[in-house]
Amino acid sequence: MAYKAFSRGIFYEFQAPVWSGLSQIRDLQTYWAGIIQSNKQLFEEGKDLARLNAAYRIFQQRNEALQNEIHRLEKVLKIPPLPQHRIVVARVARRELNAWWQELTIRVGTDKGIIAGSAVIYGDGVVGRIKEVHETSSVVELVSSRSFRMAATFEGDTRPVTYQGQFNYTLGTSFGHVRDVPSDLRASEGVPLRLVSSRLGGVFPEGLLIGLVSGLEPDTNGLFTEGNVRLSERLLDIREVAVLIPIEVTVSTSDQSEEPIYDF
Amino acid sequence: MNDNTDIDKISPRKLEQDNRNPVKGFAKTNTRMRFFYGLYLALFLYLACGMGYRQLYQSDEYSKRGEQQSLRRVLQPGPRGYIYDREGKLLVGTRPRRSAVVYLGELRQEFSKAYYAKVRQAKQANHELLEQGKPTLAIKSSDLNTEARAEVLQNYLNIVNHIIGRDEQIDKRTMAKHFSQRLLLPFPLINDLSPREYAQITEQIPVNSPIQIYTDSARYYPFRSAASHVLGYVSSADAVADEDSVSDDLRTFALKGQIGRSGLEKKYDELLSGTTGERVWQVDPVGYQHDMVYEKDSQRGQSLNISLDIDLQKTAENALGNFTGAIVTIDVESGEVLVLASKPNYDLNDLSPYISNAVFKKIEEEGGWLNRAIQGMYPPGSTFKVITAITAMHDANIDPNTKFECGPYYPIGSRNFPEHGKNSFGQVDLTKALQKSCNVYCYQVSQRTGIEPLAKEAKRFGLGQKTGIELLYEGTGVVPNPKWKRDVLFDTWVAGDTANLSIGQGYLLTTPLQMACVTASIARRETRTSPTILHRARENPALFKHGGEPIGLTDYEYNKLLEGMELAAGNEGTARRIQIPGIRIAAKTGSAEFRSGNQELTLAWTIAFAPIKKPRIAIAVMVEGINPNDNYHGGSTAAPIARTVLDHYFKKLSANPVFGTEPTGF
Amino acid sequence: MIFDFRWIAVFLVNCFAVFCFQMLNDTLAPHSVYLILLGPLLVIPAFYLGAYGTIINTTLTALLWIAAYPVNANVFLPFCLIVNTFVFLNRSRLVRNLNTQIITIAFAVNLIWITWMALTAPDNKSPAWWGRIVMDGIFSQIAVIIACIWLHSFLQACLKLVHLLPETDD
Repeated sequence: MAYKAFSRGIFYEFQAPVWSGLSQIRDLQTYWAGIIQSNKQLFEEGKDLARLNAAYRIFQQRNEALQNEIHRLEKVLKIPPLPQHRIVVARVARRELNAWWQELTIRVGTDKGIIAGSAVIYGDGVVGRIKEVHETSSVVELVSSRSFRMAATFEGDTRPVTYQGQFNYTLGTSFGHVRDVPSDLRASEGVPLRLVSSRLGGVFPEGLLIGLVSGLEPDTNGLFTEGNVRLSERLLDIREVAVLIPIEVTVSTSDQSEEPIYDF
Repeated sequence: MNDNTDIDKISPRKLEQDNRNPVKGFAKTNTRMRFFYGLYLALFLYLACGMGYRQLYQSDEYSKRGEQQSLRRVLQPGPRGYIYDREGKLLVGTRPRRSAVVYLGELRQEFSKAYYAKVRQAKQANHELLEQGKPTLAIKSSDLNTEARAEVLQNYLNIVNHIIGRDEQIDKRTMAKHFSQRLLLPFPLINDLSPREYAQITEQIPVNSPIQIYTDSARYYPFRSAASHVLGYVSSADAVADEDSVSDDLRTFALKGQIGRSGLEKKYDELLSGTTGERVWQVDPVGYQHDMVYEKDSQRGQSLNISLDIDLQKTAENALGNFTGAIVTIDVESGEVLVLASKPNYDLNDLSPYISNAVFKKIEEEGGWLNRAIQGMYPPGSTFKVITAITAMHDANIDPNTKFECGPYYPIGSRNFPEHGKNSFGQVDLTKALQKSCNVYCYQVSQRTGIEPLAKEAKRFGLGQKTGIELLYEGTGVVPNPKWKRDVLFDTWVAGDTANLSIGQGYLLTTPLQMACVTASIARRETRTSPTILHRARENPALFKHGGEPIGLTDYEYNKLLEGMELAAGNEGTARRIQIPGIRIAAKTGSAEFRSGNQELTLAWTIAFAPIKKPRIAIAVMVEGINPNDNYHGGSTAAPIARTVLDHYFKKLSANPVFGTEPTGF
Repeated sequence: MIFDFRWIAVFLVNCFAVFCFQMLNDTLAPHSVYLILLGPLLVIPAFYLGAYGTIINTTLTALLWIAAYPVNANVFLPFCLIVNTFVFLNRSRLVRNLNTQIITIAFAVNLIWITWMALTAPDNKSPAWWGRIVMDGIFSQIAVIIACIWLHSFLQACLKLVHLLPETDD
């Protein structure tokens, strides 16, 4: 067993820099592709980005204000603080998405303090969980993987349900499966339910989108319903993710800066 | 060679052959061998026929027996249906009850490994003892097996403990019982996980781990103790196969389901119970599951819509507060029961999924099991005077304007029957009698009518018999008469008994539900009300026939009756504390005495209906004294409670004019 | 020959091929297509290496594969060695420069491995999952043909470059 783990580690570390390098080359390609665009196009895109940045700055200020209010109320009501996370942003070096496993390799590892089991997210919601951590890279098990399971809730409801990945159809989108859904919840194509992460499990923060549920059917027990979860199409095309590393929160640390760490 | 053989007839060549094989020669020529040939043939035929019979003719039977031996059936109970109030609010639901379990079939190898390790340890220990010259210990394989299994299961339990921060231990006795009786069923490591624990285990235990989450259901009561007696509770019971089960002859394991034990849960147990699901498993020789060969899904039971209004019910129960008593309100037209409150009550969630000894003891000590609204039988006190008044007009043709002289007491025989409070009301007619709740008036009426018309009128209004409501263990009450006293008490009826009956005392016993029905009947000018706890069970509630008959009073007499009851609720009436501005209420209070054990206790009653024109709601409130010091009166104790309930009802009605007829929920 | 270091060159070519296949899969990932191209990596080197060389190369390639993918090492490594040994022992009956023969064997090896992985995958295999397996299998088998041709040419060119292209099948 030790020999297998050792040899696997050696060969992995042999390949990891190559993946990293290829990923860097890809990023360089994107950069040069952007460089050769016309100035007018770049200017337009820059203006759009500036507007977006301005909007996000306002959201950030609002978030900070809300965060401060939460801290204040926690102190007043003497309730334990919500779990907090340190954010590490990372580029995706490699993607392995097949019927057996769905994994990403990202360009951060123990060098940036990544811990196995940490949540991984992106702009559209949940990406997955850190499965393995190496020196400079980590393997992320995607939310669409069959061995990925997490506690979730439906938006606006507090009752936990179980989400498990399934697979993705060839030339199609990814699917997951949700079960233990209370039978009073209704979903349809026109009014799908949004499945979001729950912080009850202790890994993911609350409210991150997992996918949409368009139909629910009674399960074999007759107690609950279950259904398929349509994941975001962007999930298969991710190039950048954020790893949420939980930090021990005490009264003194709750005021610590939560600036994200970038790997580039 | 046989001496009898004719040697000359045998060819030399043959002879030579036979000489080379004497046995063969002998066999061919000796007739005795034919017997053995025949015997062998017969035995062989018998064997062949037997085999043919078993393998061809009985093959189906043996094949079936083989299947039965290798197949096991697991019954999965269907979840129970819900119970809603008249507005569609959920009164009884089902909450998931999640347990961390392991499937023992997946741990067989680990059990074996642990067992052999234990055997090796035991042998090693014995070896050391031998070397030290001490006596060795007996190695009991069953004990080692149990220990090995417990160790393996404890390891898995420790994983769960670590995740959720608990410190549970495996109970070896429970484990051994599970192995011997419920091998195919998942073994629970921790029962009833909280949502947080469930989420933590879901996320932190690998998908392919033997530890899984098993979900069954427990009853959930969002309104806690409201209508606890009506709704009832459930307890666990093994799931029962449906009638159309295809595998009745297989050995069966049943997961725990629920069975109603009281209230509507018991009455409508069959309706609420879901369809039992089945899984037929092929098992290996040891009994662990191997492959599933048949599956039938469980299905939820049907839901029930009842007539209670949970808002009004809660208001009524809050109004009762810490009193012991009951409140019943009925929709006058349809007979639907809007409130059926009984105190003391209990939080139904404390009885789910099982009743602990502490909870049982507490409810027992408080007397909370009794549903006083339908089971409690009490003397109705002065509320019975409305029936006395009706008897006076209907049976004795006493004019409502006839006045009787009412002093502080009335002599009957050698006894003086007192007026309440030793009042002297002077000249009293029917309306004043009801207004002031005059006992002496009723005594005089009773002496004129006699017992039989009074008893007959009481029975005409449904007293002394069940109302027929769809609840179990309803009390009948007692309407005494001379025959009853002779048969039950072996005593003679006396005039004083009639006098007592006329004021709702003596041997007369009614339930609060019966008094509410009487009130509703009077409101409709009929003699009977058929109460129902189900909502919209009657096609046309306004035209529903309750099975009674018109009271039989003239308009003048009936109006006098109503006038008396309205005056009772007026400023100078005994029920003045029931007044609600803008609502005309007809009411009657009562204060009864009854003996409980060695104690003389008081009861406070109020019955009422409103509005007087086109009545919508009838109410009966009963407050029971539990100590001799409790000095309860209908006007001061029960009437304010009735007012609270009526006030809430009419406020709700004015806010939602269709309230009481159409549900607003789903 | 004990000191035949051709296996180093072949192994490096294999490494390069593995990385190329990974890049290909990375590019196809948004379209939910995945190619398993194991056959060429096991079959082609067996025609160019000696006995020891082929074992070392196969072992290292297998370890590279095990490190990159979550396959069962207890099954994968013996499988690779068995395949390689089989091809090595029978290569005298085959013509090295005839791509069709190499493609056929690589095709079969790839198909066996995909089938094995599909049959031994954990539970909950729905019909839709099998649909995905079949589609990926079809694409992989088509890609094996192209990959064989490319890898074979590439390997020959690399060995020629370092003057290690064997004249015979030894």
